[in-house]
Parts: sequence; structure tokens; C-alpha cells
Amino acid sequence: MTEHPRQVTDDQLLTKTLGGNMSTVSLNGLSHAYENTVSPSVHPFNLFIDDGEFVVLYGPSGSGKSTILRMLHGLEAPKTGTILIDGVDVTHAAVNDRDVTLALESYALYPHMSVRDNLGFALRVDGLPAEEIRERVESVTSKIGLSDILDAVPGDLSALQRQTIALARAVVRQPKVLIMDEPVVNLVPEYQADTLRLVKDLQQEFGLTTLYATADLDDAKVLGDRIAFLDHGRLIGVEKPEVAEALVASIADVDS
Amino acid sequence: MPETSAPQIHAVHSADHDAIAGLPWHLPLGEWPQDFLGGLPRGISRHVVRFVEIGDEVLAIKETDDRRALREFDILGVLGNLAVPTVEPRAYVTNRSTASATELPGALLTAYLNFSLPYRALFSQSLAADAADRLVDALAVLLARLHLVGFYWGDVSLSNTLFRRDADAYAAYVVDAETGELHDQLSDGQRQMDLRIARTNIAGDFLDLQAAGLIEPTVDPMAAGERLFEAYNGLWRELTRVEEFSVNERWRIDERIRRLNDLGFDLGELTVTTDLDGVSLLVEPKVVEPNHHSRRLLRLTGIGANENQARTMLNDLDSHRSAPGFTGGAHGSGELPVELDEDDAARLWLEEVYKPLISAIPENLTHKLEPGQIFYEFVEHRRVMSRARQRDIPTMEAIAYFIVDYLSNLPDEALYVDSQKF
Repeated sequence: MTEHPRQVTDDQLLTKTLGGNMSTVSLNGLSHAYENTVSPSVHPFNLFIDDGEFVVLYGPSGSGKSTILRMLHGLEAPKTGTILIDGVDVTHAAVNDRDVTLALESYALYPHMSVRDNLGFALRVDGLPAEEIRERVESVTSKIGLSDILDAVPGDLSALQRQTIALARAVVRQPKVLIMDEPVVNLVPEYQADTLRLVKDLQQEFGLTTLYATADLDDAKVLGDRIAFLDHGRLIGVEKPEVAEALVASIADVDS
Repeated sequence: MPETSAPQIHAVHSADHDAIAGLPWHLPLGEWPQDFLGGLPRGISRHVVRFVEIGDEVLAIKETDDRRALREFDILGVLGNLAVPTVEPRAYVTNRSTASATELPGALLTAYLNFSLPYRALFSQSLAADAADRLVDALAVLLARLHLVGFYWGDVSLSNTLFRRDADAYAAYVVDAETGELHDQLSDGQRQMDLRIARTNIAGDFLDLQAAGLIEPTVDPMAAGERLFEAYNGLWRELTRVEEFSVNERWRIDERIRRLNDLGFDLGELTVTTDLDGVSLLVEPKVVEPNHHSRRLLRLTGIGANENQARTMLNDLDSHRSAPGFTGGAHGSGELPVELDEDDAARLWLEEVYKPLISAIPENLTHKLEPGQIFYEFVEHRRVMSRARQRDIPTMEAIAYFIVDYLSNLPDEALYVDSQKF
């Protein structure tokens, strides 16, 4: 399997230094099997995701990409292997002790709350001081050009602005790892491209270590620093987007 | 000219098919003409949701993609079969398109849950001071019940729940299951995730109520999320924990069963393991079933009621049976108190208390509350009246005062009308 080092920009380093949130993910010999099944849903594999890297898990339905995200998130227990975040073993850690956030799980915004409050309320639940919440919300919205709508309510926003807020809601939490599981698949086509661009821009802006599952190769090529190819629960290879087509063709040859 | 194809309608009851087919499926749900739509309260939804009248029933229609409509239809059906409180799926519609052949999302149709209210509608009424706590408690019970049957909700919130009055509490129903997953058994991580989502969403629900001016600024939205966390964990511990007793403490098994009954659960199966030395017992509930009081009431009287309403009725049945003037009706001499078995006592209570009350409710007041709640409110009203007058009030007299002084002044809740606040 080819591992390609990636470059971190100076801006990302600065953002991370300010936010203090460097994160690597190391999946070592990780596998998964559902109860009462013979074949593993995910065969043992290794994958290292560098700090600030955007790795796309690409594969068809049933390839194991969602299960990998669910293990990282804490929803599924691995059969074998370990999950390390920043070198800390979180394989058996509680959901709240992992600092992994699933973005775009819901696009619903609270109708009577301002954009500022829609972005910040989860931080209140997490117990952050009001001043830090304000700083985080304003920092994120200024970088994505939404500062002038902080006091608006969702009903006053365009559909794309609402999606931007929904994604920014995850970013303000400054998770060590951001995960997304086919977030655009249920959007109407005209919003899909905008949302993908938004996802890429925000990830780059904040240098968040990100894993993104998709069954769409075009989306994978647009988004990923690297693409992890999955087929029938096996990690086939991890490549840069430029060589994605060739690898997909070779997988198709093997399958046929 | 592009060709359009007819929408595919999959209805549970074939009798509904034609009426559903007559709806304007070629239009996005948000553009349906007003005359198709009922004015019912709406919660927060990521989808367009509308209500329509089909025959004498109201159906909720949610627009979502074909795959999700079918999936949620199936999940709601399974949850219903597992006796989890949920809205009833009636149909799903796929293969929709506009007149110009532009694809439209699919739709899920569920029966409107009569006498149910979204939390926003509840807070638009004048509520008891602890109503917020009771809503959260009801959601904690629902979540524990869902987890017992292996359902991971994935989007627990007050917005995705409907509430029915249940005596002085509420009973909660799943109304949006599209993010849910059914498993043989949930992992700790899945339960933790549901709780984490619940805590965040409930705080958001309450903050939004505050922003809308529907609850006092003094209410702490963060505390509501914490309350769910604690209520759920306490209940889950009691429902599932393994206890170790000395072999001489078998009475503690009865204690455990009684505690579960008090929480509204029956023990369907219990595993008792004796250790190798024969000194201690490990006791683990394997199957716990909800609705302890509802099922007992149904068995005795045939009345279907929510758990706390049923508890009220059973208490009233017991006090009716033990009242000094109770002479067993046609079963007794008419002069001397008699001991009836539980079934006979229930039949008499039905004839002498329950049926006279329900049949005395004028037709125009039957939409105020569902019968189980009417009974609870009647018992409370009678109790307050008796205390004020320092005497027992005969049943028929109490019924007359209850209808005139109390029931007639309540709002209709069978189909709650949208007050445009939501």
C-alpha cells in the first residue's frame, strides 16, 4: 500500500497553533464483525491519517466505509485492532471521551435562535465559558464570510447559508477528528456541488483531520488528500486522487 | 416533451389507496394547495411536513427521498410490532415527478396520533411549573424502552417526539425514526451516542423555546439535558443491572420485581445464578416489559390507557372495592360488605364508575381529552371537591360538576389546531 506524505500550509499551521488542536488518527489491525455473521464486515487493516489530512473512504454500499467511521466514533466495537487519536488509545473509550464529531448529521436549525446561538449552543452544553463560545463562533463565521448574518434567524437565510451554518456547527466544536458519512447523498442535486465545495473549503481553512465516506468517485477525487479504496470490507489501497481511476479500474478487473 | 410516470403508492390499507392517489403528488409538498392541508402544529423538521385529511382521519406527510421513505416506513412498522410507542406508518410514495418530469422526493405517510401534542404546542398553553421536567422524564422512559428493544435513534430530541397526557405525567411517542437503526442488542457506544445527542438536542429545543418566548428566561435549558441523562441512567440501571444476593435473601428478588412494577415494567424473564460455593445469587433481568399497569387494566376491564392513567384507574378500582359502602352490587346482599375477586370487582367498577362517567360526556366535549385522561382528571376533580366540602361526593354528582365546571372549559386536544406560533 502506498502512503503519500502531505504538505501542511503555513496558514493551517497558524490556525492549529491558535486552536491548539493537532490530531493524527492511527487505525492498527482494525477489524469488525457483526454478531451471528461468518464473514467480517471489515477485514483487518492499517491506516494512518496525518494531522489536518482529508481522507476519503471510498467504496460501494457494503464495502465497510461506514462501519470504519462508526468504530472511530464509538458506535461499533472493533473485533480486533486499536484506534489511536494523537497516540492515545481510544479503542474502548466512551463516546464522549474521543473528541470525534460527526458533521452534517442534521441540517435542521432552530427557527427562533439566531445564527450565533445555533452555532454556539452545543458548546454551552459542553460547558465552555461564554467568552470562549463567542470567540469561536466569531472566528469561524469570519473565516467563512458569515459575520454579517450572526444575528439573523434561519428563516432569513438562503438554503446554502443554512447548510453552511449546519457544517460550521461541527467546526466550532474544534474536534480532534471530523467525520462525515455520505452527507450530500440526500441533498437535491443543485445543492450537492455547493456543499462539497463548502466541506472542502472549511476543512482546508481549519486544517481539520477529516474522514469522509462516499460511494461517489468524483466526490472523492474533489475532496480527498488521499482516497482509501474499500471493497467487500477490505482496504484495497490508499492513493492520491490523481491515480484514483487506475486503482478503481484494477479493482473492477479483480472483481470481474 | 418528457414523459412523466405515475407515483408508486404503497399503502398498508388498500382502502386508503385511492384517496392517497388523489393527492397532488406532481407538486412539491411545500407547494400543495391550502385546501389539502390541515392546520396542525409543526415541530422542527429537516423535511417538509404537511397534514391532510383522508376520510375521517388525518395523515402526516413527510417528504424525503424514496430510499429513506421506505426505510422509515419499515422501521416504524417494526417498532409498532415491538409495542414501542410510535406513530403508525400508513403508506409511502415513490417515483414522484412533476408535470415536466422533474424528479421529486418520495413521501412517508403516518397516521396523526390523536390527542398528541408536539412540545411546542404544550408550551404555548399554561403549564404546570414542572411540566418541562415531566416531558424530559417521558422522553427518558421512551429512550430506555427503545434501547431495550435494540433501537438506536440517532436523533433523539423533543422535536422528534410527540407527547400525550398520561395522568399527571406525559407519555412520549417516536415520530421521526429516519436516523434510527434496529439491532439485536445495542452496544454501550450506541446508547452513549443517543444520550449525547439527546443532551445537546434537548438543550437546543429549550433554548429555542426561550428564544420564542414560550418559556421563562429563568428555566435552565442545560439542566433539562442533564435531567434526561440522569433519569435515563437511573431507569436503565434498575432495568438491567445484575445484583448479587446471599442465598438467604431471596426476598430481595421480590423487592426488585416490585421496584420494576412501580416504574411501570414487568419482569418477563429473570436469570438467577448460584455461585459455585452456593453462597450467593446473581440476579439479572433478561426480559423486562413496559406497561405493567396498562396491561393489568386491559386484562381486567378491556380499557386501553396509558401507563399512569391505568395506574390511576386501578387505584380507583381498589378504593371502590374497599369503600365502606361497597356491597357487591348484584353480587351481594345489598346490606353487608362482601369480598369479591378482582375480576368481579373490576366489572362492578366499570358499571358503577367508569361507564357512567364516559357515557355522561356530551358529544361536543369528547374532543377535549382522551377517555383515560378524562378519568384521571375526574378523579382529581372529585378529590379536590371532596376535600373542599369535607365529604365524599357521590359518583353521579361528581360527574355532573366535573363536566360543567372543568371539562367544558378545556381546549380541544384531539386534533390540536395550529395557532400559527410554531
